[in-house]
Amino acid sequence: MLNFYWKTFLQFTRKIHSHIGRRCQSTRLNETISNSASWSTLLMTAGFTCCFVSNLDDKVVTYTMVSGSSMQPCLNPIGSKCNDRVLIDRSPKRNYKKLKRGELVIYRTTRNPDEVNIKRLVALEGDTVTTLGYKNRSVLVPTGHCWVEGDNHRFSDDSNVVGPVPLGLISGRATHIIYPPSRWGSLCRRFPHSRVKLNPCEKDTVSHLPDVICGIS
Amino acid sequence: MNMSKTWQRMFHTLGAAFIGYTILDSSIQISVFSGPSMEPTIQENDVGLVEKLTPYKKFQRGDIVIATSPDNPSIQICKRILALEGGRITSDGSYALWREKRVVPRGHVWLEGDNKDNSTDSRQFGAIPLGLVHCRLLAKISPKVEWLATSNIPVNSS
Repeated sequence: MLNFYWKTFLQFTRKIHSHIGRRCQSTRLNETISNSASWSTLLMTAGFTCCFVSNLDDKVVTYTMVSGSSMQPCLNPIGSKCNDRVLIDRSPKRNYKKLKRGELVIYRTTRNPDEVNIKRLVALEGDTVTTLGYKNRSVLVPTGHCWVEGDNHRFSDDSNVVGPVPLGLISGRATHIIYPPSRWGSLCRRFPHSRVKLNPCEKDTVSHLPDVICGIS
Repeated sequence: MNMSKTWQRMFHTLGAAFIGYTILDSSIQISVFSGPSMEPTIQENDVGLVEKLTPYKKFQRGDIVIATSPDNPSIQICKRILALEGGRITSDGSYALWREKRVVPRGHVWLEGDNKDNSTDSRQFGAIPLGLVHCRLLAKISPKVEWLATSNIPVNSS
């Protein structure tokens, strides 16, 4: 990610710097002023771009590389030459109510806060989940929590291993695959209809969703 | 021309303001506290200076931290860390699972308010993942400036 930002930042600052330099060179009077002024302008542009990109990355949209096979075949399918990069939308951080079942989310893991996982959000509070390998066969998701699962259940460190995940740990929603170009496209919502029973107070908004395609066929 | 100098000044001022805001916003925060759960250390409507720079591994027992509530992600709670991962819990709580287990699991912390009788904390909802904790209180700035030391760990904790 750092490489990408560095290249964008260099191109951006060079463009602005040359544009401002051209304006300052319009008369001879400005020759002496422009030399010292242009260094500070360059620094300022550099700082501004860094801060702008950092704010954008943290609050609006970012991208990340997906590693591992827990979301196969949706992400990093077998036979793919390189890891997928996905576009992350940060709007769930501002309003958790906008999260929808079936979306791919990124969250800090409960066992290691420095690690971020990407999984599918299959159940929200009040839903009843029939688990795969969890200590309880059936779980009622508590308030403020959600249930996340990787599509490839056997190789997935998800709620089936650690239990319900607090919503506060979710830091974004993955909406599109942006690299490699052959795999461009949006990520659709999928829902394991057979294993999740919706919160009775909730209107049914998932019956139209396709079922999850599991990694092991 | 005078125009380009004015533009430059304006650009510099806006740029500096934006850079300053970003740096400050990512490192510190001024928070107003409400609720009785941290009395007498923090009273209702006190204002504090919190810092967001501590990495997860550097949080210590006795730190007063602000975390996202595990019951409601829109609410921030302010409590003291009483135990880190691997630590033992002896305080009596209604969260039966933790009373049995008595050890804070990996990646979690045990939070309690200083006002034991009037605080909803880990005794009710269990140890919370460190990923929910995001700031540490450095000092109170209202009603009077007080630097909060981390050595004030209540005597009756383990």
